[in-house]
Amino acid sequence: MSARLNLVLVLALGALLAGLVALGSSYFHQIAITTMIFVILSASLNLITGSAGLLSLGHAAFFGVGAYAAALLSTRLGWPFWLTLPAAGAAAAAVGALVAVPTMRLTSIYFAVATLGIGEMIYVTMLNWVGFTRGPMGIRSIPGLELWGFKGIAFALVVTAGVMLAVLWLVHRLVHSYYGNAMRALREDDACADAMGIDVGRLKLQAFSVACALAGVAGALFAHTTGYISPESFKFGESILVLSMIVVGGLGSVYGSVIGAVILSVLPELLRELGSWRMIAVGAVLFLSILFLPRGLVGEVSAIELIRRQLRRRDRGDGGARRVAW
Amino acid sequence: MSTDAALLELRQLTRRFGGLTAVDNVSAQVMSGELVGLIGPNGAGKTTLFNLISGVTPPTTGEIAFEGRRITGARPFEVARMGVGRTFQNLRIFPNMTVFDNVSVGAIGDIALGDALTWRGRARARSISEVSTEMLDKVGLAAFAGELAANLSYGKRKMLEIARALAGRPKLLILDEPAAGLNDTETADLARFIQRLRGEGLTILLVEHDMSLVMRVCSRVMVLAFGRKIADASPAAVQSDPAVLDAYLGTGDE
Repeated sequence: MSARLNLVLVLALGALLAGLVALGSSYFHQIAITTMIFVILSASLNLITGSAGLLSLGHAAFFGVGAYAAALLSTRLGWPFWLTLPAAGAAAAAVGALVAVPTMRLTSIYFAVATLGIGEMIYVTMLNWVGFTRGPMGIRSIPGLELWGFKGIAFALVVTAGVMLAVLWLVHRLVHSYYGNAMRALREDDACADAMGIDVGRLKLQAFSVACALAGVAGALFAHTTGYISPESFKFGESILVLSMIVVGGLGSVYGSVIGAVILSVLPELLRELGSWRMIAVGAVLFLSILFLPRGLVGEVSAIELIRRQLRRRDRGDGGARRVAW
Repeated sequence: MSTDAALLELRQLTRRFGGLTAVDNVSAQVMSGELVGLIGPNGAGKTTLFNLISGVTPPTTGEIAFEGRRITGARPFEVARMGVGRTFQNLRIFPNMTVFDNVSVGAIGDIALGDALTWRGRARARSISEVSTEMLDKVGLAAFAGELAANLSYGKRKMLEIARALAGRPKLLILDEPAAGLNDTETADLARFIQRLRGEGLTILLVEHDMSLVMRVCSRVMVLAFGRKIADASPAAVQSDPAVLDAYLGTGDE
């Protein structure tokens, strides 16, 4: 997409933000913040799943690691948010890298299952390590975003928007560079990418760590803007929700991540009158999008094709294609 | 045989899969600037030998040296970065990427995350684009640069694979059955193209099931049968070698 379109989008977003701040309804502010946090999550997941083709089913867990890191650092050590944000990113990246080292040797669907298991492990740890995380009680009274006397929800909105734009810029930069091409090659055919001189193991580790770091930053924003976190927010279902966002928006596309996150964050709010039926509407959006828009709204690869390829990859006949990536 | 100028040297390579010896004590050399053919009937061990050279499969015993350096046990990406480019027998292009991006993957090499995000990435990106453009021109696919690779015809995809391998600026190019599935005209074009590459000084190892292309372009032909090298000579000598004829046609006294 062109630079002019980018500019228009950024301006439109800025106008929307300014409007929201001026209107001053804290309900809208909260929805906008939540939406933007999900934009960060979907953009980071799209980096590994959409671009690099590594189906991760545990993204919410890394979101949780970041949220807990930020919550604990600010409530126990009194760190300000501009320190907890990078720290949360670093913590999530560290956990991600730790997890990545053993699982990176797994290809295709095995990797997806491993991330599912690891996500559950992290969730169960949050739930049961009561001495550290306070378990199901969660962590209360997390300080809000505050800097130089600015605070309140309007300020939180501006900070979240700033962080989101920085994340989107970073992801956009990565995806549209040769680095993005290396990731796409990994998605399309990892053994072939290997034969073309790309260190597949290292690339997976890097991409996964970056995505986890960004999810961690989103977690920190979540902790500071809601003021309360508990393991419930980082369950498997959340990972699937983020995955649905990138499937609806489009795998491998930064714009798709944004659009998908906005649709699936705002839709449940618009349908609040339907009560618990509204989650069925969310499911219907996912279903219809896979049925009628296999590539999502603006994606570069279809979700079905991605999954099918994961299942098929082992059966292919050429030499090392059946083996682990390195 | 002299050993000093060998670009690729295989020393007593053996690869066993369980009870099957796919490659049996094969020693061979490819000299710099040579265009060598490797032929053999189905199941002769050509693909296994290919995978041993490119690092996909480690040899059971034996050694591989490239430019005098031992590369036995090196991973495929390391072998590729040392200067061994390859294509695949059953096309392995990246279908959801553009033709240009496909070729550029061959030129990426080292992936430093820091580089991709900073100003250093710009210079890398520029040189990758230049090489990709050059190679697309060379194989005659420049007009399709923005097209999705999946939309190319079979013959063009084959050329795309060669362009992608060339983008890594290899010293040795290994082509795995490049003529398979091509019609006569396309095969003739391919033969001319391979000879042109050789004219530019590239060393090429041509792995083929079919004899005709190999006999037309190669200066030397190695023949594998049942994992063993049974001949290594000029195309004319190989064609009249009784052992080769036996391997291809079967012997009368079996």
